[in-house]
Amino acid sequence: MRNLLITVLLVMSTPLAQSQIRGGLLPEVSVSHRWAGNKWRITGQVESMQRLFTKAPGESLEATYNYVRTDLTSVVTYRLAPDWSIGGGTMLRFTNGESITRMIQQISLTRRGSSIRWAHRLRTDQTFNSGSNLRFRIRYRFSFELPLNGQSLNDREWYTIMSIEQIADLQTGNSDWEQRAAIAIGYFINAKHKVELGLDYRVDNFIDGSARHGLWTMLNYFVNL
Amino acid sequence: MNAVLKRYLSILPFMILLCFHALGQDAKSEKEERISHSSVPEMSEEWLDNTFGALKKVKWYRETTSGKLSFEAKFKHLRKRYSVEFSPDGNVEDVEQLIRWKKLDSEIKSVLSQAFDRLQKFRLYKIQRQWTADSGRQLSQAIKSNDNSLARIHYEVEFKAVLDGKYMMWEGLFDTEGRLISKRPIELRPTDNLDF
Repeated sequence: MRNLLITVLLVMSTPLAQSQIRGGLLPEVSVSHRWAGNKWRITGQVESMQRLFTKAPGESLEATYNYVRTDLTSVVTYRLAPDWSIGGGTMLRFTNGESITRMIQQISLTRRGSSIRWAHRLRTDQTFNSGSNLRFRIRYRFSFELPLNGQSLNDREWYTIMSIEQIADLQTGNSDWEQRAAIAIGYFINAKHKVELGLDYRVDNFIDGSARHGLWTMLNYFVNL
Repeated sequence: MNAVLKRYLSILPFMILLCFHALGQDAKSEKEERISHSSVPEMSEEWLDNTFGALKKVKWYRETTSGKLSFEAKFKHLRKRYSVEFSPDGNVEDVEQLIRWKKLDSEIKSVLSQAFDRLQKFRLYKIQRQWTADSGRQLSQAIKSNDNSLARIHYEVEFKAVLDGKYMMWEGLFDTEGRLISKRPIELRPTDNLDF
């Protein structure tokens, strides 16, 4: 058993040693407002990424602080059916003294079981950045939410939320595939407020380069006005 | 970088204020929580034992809906999922059995199909057969002997459709003639954390 553990650690550590690793904080505040019988919804989101540790290929892990970026996103969605909605919006990214614009389109399906809620989201986005070619991404995310006490989620109760996402990144001469997985513990304060704390793991550049791993601590606050 | 960091830090007090504002608000009138069997009226457990025999695993829930308290037992029996609701003093109120559409008797399937066809943009999500009776003893007898004449049978259906001009999720109670006896909209919690 001990030998097996050592073998597994060695097998895992070899590719990780040649990989780039970074991580830190990824807090987010999301404010939504629904109107017209909840058919329409507008969401404004502020997300900020701050790096707390980094590791270059072949080097050791180093603790450091770097502000990476702040994203301001606004998306309007329209509910086509009780469980289907489409939406579109824009994101403004502030990073390295420059701003980047991204257009977003999405369709999502949300279903509920006896206790679990799950959602499929298909999103496309186009990123415009001066000096770079248009970057086009297609993303699919599956997420589910599970109450931790009882069958349904009530006020002042805990829940867990998990998601996996595949992202195809297409840019002239620079295409990539990114995978994400996230897990968080949430506290449902009431129908208007909830807060989530969790981890967001991301890996990209793994097809033909040294993989780049990211591990971010999420602190998400959702407000429904 | 410092300017952006300062801006970010400046929203932290706003977030903390939001938390306190939210915590100060009233809780919803509907609450359901998992409880242990020791918190359940003894009579409820006796009724279950008497009706279904020794059940391997029963999950108990306490529900408070608009100030009204009830207990609910959920379990599997002969490969079927049941939920049984009891009053606070332990009297049985109804028995529900989750049932697949294709497993329904052809007669009731035909009646319900016609009822569903009358609803615009209808889509079925979940159907439960519901038994009620004038007394707990009668209800127990109906279940044990599979004699539906001893109980009132209804079908609790979760569906989406246009009702009263609103296209949303509904929970409706249909009788064996296909009449929609009662309905209530299912309020879905905001899905912002699943959509974004």
